[in-house]
Amino acid sequence: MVMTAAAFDQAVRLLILDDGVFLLKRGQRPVAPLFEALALYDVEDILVERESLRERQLTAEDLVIPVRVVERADIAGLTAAHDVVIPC
Amino acid sequence: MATLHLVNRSPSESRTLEHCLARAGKGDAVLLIENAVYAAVKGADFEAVIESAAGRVGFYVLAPDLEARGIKTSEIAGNIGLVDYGGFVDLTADYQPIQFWF
Repeated sequence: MVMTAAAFDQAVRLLILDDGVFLLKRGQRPVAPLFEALALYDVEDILVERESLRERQLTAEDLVIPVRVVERADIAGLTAAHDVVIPC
Repeated sequence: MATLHLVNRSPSESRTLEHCLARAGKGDAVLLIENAVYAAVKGADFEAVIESAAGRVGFYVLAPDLEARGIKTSEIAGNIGLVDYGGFVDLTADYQPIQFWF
């Protein structure tokens, strides 16, 4: 979904919450290449919520790609700044 | 503009509603549809979840989904607004963006 939107020249930002952060955890087989491919689609702003990481004993260093860590309290403002929100 | 959050899972089957409320901002609206309408029942286990956010976000419940589940409007907590399908459409026009949680 993210790649489809990006392929149509939409500015796309990816926000990863809750168990979604496990998808980025290092050491899993099929997932890393998929997330590494996001850069090819110019999806470079990948946001991960600090609290979601912390609740799962993870830090940004445990993840397969570089991410921007954001606070839970900032999510509402971030969401409101976008035209369209697509859950995946 | 403020965000409209759509939640369709019962709070006893999934933590979607809590996940939504953890991120909803002041002035946002949350519309409970499908099995999420069970969260709106007055005195039910999840009333506290709704109450914890009631001052910050506006709650709405989709009346046809209540009716389909045999829940009367008198059984709904007082701080939750009832909307029909037309009201659902109005909410989608009044809020921007719309975020679906599942």
